[in-house]
Amino acid sequence: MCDYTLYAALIPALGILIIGLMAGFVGTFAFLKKQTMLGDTIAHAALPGICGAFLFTNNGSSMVLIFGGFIAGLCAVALVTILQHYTHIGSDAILGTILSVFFGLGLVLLTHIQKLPIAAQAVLNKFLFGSAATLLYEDLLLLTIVGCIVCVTLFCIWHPLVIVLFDQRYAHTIGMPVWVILTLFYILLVLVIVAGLYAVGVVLMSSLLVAPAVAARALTRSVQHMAFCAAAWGACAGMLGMLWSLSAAHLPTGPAIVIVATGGTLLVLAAGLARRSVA
Amino acid sequence: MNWLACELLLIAICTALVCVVPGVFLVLRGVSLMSDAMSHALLLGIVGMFLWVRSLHSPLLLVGAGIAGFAVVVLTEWSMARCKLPKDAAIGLFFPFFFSCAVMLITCYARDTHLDTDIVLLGDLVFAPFSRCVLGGIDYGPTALIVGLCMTLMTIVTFMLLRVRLITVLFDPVFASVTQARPAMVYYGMMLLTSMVAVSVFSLVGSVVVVALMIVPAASAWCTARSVDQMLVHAASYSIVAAVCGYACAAIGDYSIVGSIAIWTGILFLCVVIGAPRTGLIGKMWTHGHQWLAISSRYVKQHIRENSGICDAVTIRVTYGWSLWWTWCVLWYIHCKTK
Repeated sequence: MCDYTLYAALIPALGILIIGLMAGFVGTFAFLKKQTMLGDTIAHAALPGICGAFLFTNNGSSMVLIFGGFIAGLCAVALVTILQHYTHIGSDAILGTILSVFFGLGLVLLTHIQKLPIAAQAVLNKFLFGSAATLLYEDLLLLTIVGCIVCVTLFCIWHPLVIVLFDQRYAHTIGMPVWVILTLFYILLVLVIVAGLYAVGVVLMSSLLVAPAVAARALTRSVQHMAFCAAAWGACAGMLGMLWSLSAAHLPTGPAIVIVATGGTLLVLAAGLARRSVA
Repeated sequence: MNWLACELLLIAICTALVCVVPGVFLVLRGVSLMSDAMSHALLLGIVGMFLWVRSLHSPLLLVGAGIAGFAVVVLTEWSMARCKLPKDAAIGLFFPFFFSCAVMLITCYARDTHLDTDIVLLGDLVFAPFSRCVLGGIDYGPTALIVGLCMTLMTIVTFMLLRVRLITVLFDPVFASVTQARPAMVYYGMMLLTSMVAVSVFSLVGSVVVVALMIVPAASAWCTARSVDQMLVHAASYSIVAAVCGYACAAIGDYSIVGSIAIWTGILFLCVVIGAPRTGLIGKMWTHGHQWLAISSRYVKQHIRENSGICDAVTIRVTYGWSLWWTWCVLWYIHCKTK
């Protein structure tokens, strides 16, 4: 009995650990690019992709759904970039537009699916708020692969990415392929967000990117330290939140993780304020 | 089309119209995503008030929702000023926290009541005509419609009263503070109004589509309008068209009205972005093409002058490195101009 419980808790725990790590790493760069709300947009925009994949394949396996979400997220990022480049509309208005219109499309598909006589539609509901407790061995395998891809790619483009984030004109001047680096970064962002939908769901995924990055920014003074600090805090908050949600019946995982992550971050910010007012 | 459907359509139009004034303000001010933050944070106010008064029909719930929506704005602005957070991170930090707290409170203390997170996310416009406003035995129509009309009137009156100040604050904040137009007061006042509008609307359309109704028509109007007044009129007409088309499509296909309206705002946005007369992609391409042609034709005339009046297409092509197609276009342009 004890072994079984341990095993049942181990897989979600490892899954959340990987998601928290990835979100912390990539969130740092999104924070430095001042585009954390792009994460919110991608997360919301993944909904029509998930529903569409479900409708298209009639298959509730999470691999298929995640792939659909990935495609929709990429479409959203591409649209946002195109609109930012070719129109004079403010980028926040563009993000809000893409976010809400894609989500509306998702709602229409969702209501369509709810009328179909298929039992597997319950799977879709877990993407709204996330349910880490239902992570399976296959999901863990997928998450590990995604995590490896994200980390390796990020380490490969680390220095160019930092230069592009802090001084895009300089990067242009010294002949860096800025476009390629940013595209790679956006793909990583979409990958991480879509993978994180398992844990915290569509509505709250952006928080897992922002909160660790904000805390890490307040504590550290270099990009490397910030990234590792954010990854560590993301993983810790994920584990703590999951333990909290497992401690009582029916507690949703996503909100628990978000409360732990943001609560810790607010403590860090408050400590910083207190120190400044004393000094 | 029976009376019920008519009422539903009217409610949809009214709901879309309420969001116009706050939407235009948010878009011009550059804080569109604050509407997203507000509409999510509302839930905490509702849940908190519900746990206090223990009734789902008390107007105090709406007061709580308004306070929570306003609180998230104040917290965001405060953390931007004091903790030096960038705007996007400050917005993204607080509203998921509020929303998660609300969901946690619901699952812990209010699970057996009719307070459902699905309704908050998805809205239930379809059932709006069934809650009637009955005063003294007379049925005045659906509550949602009357509330919507009152709120629309209120937003318009507020805009008329504050029109000059708003425009000053939006387009020249430094001048506004010099002339004591009180930019901060105006900003927080408009945010309070936005919060009230979000409260009145979100139970009908859900917290994400509120963003579609506020931001998308205003963003489309930004492409076509040349003044704030025009922008309001354009945004209002886009939202009416979106509400009518969205409702019609949803009625034909029998799916979510709310989602359909959101999609239609998006379709109108796309049409405007591509086809607006001056600022649309096609219009821009047309203007740029004309400018390039004019410049290129000057080059060609120069070339002809330098070569004492002799000109053939191949030399021009090679001299300026143009493609065959572009050379043809330029020559055709000159031909048309000289005729």
